[in-house]
Amino acid sequence: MKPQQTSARPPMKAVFGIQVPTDAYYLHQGHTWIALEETGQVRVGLDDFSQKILGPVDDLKLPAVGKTYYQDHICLSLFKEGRKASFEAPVDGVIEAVNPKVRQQPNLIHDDPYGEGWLCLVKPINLQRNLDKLSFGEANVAWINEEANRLLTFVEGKAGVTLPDGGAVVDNLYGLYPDVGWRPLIKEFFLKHLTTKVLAEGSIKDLWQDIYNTGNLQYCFNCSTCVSGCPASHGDPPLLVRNLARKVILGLEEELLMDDTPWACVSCSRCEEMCPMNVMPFEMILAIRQWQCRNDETLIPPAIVEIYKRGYTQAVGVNLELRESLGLAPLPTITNNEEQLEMFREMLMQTQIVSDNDYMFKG
Amino acid sequence: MQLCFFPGCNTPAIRPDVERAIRASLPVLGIEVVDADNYVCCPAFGSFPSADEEAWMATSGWNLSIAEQKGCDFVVQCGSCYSSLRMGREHLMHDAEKLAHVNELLEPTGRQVTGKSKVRHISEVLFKEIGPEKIASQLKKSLQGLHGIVQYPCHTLFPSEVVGFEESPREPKGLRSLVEALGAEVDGYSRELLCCGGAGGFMKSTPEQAIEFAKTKFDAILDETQGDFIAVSCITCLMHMERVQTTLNQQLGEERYKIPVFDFNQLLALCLGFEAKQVSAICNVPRDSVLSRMVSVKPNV
Repeated sequence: MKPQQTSARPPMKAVFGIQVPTDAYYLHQGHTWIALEETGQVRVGLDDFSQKILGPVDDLKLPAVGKTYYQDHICLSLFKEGRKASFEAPVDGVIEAVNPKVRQQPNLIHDDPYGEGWLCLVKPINLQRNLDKLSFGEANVAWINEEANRLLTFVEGKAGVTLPDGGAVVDNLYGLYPDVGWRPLIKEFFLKHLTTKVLAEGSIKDLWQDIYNTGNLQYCFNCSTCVSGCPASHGDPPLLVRNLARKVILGLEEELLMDDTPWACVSCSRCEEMCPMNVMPFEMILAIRQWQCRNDETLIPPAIVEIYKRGYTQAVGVNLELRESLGLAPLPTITNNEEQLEMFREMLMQTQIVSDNDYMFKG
Repeated sequence: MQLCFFPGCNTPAIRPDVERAIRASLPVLGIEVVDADNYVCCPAFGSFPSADEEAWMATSGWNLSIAEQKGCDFVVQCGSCYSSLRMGREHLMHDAEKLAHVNELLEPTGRQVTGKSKVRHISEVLFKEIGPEKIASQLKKSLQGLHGIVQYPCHTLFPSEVVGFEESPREPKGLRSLVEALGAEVDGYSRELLCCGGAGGFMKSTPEQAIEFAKTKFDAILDETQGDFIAVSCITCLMHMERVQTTLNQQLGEERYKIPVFDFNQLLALCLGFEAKQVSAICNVPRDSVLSRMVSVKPNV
């Protein structure tokens, strides 16, 4: 089925140098767009705002044909220099086709975001309701104007860079100002619903149910035993275990998602031993890391890919000469046993984290 | 007695002389070492345990099944491997659903976990199974006249309910008794039970602070003890406590920090008469000051 609108381009307006369609295209708050096709399908792509931020990318992961995605849930990703930018689905629907051209030439997404750079065709299942949350026509212009202002303030705050007044948003903004930070940019502009959904619904969530479902956490009285003696509490920023416990108890989802300190833990488990209320803070830290990975695949440790590929995070069993000089026989490692390694990989592929992120483990 | 040796990754890849020391000493003390064929990452806390519980448990299950197949317990030197394997086993043994699920995942690979094999740290085996007296009776060389410092691996102390074997994790005696069994005098100091700070993300995310943290430990050793060497019982402690001294000296521009660091198994193997070029071949802080002062033990008649 041939897409309709590649020839007839709708009218565009420029806002801070960003192309904004004023007809035919609906914009989603995560910077995807949809256009309605005569076939009843909707075509999906990324807007020019997102492309100004990212610049041309190296690779992409398109949604799987036949799979159903829902509005505001992550459905596709772009990759640039090993970093990933994920985007939310603009509508509920079943993926019926993807654009084969952009797989070959990912730069089309950047060079022609509303035309040749389209990404997929979706059969919508809830269109009327979904359209309520998308903007259209002149509202697109007003909204992108708002976003561009927000972006300029954000860049100034993070990287101390002031862009010229009334000028354009530069192309490849992250490439020029990496100090802005990749994850903060992605979170702030492309993954809004990931972090604000809960707050928007006006209810404080029992986050501990998602993260660390142990009743003992509720008994934490902030005594700081977990902090004293913690090596990483000397870090910068410090790992303050009790603060993490507070964030979980109080349901501060957004703050917790952006908090990197759980990753500084040395795993010594002293806090686990000393906690007077048996909160088991080390288990809590692992649970927070797991929850962060579930919500943000970019946090998944590359070590798991190493383990998948060769069984270990280190190159074990290849230093044969050194071993021999020490009087050691070769080690019966799985790296050197292709059949067992394949079985191990197949087992891991059955687990959700590996199968959901299978793109990481290929090649 | 047979034990299945879980080598981990750092020991065989970077410090295989420690592996050599273990494989040399244990048989002399009556332990037959069995290989863990096709073992995989323990898994390290920064890998699957930080990403997903299901894959963590599956990986633990894969490893635990190996010892079960061999019909013996695991013996582990690396603190992280020990703790990860024990925690994995603990989770599986206390949750029938998790155990059943892991066994489903393992089934196509011809493996199974029941929990019949335990996970033991090598310092526990030496301290409790063999005992300092028996070790002392086997020595060909001794550390008499030398002062030792001990660095307990956090992962063998905390959480004591899961990993512990000391009477009190706050007053551990195992490693001290073992070093004393080799003839050395062990000097205590104020920061003895402080973590080395070498594992996990601390050193990766804020290396300056991590080095500074370790410096307080080394300064206390220099100020408060006559320590001639440090005995550790974890590969991370070994590598980190050497690396920190090198870095501190570079920062300072002089060789203030130069206390040789040994894995206990290396000292043991040396005292059992094995050659330094096999069991103590790799180090960043020179060890000659200790090796040259080891004395021969006259056999008891």
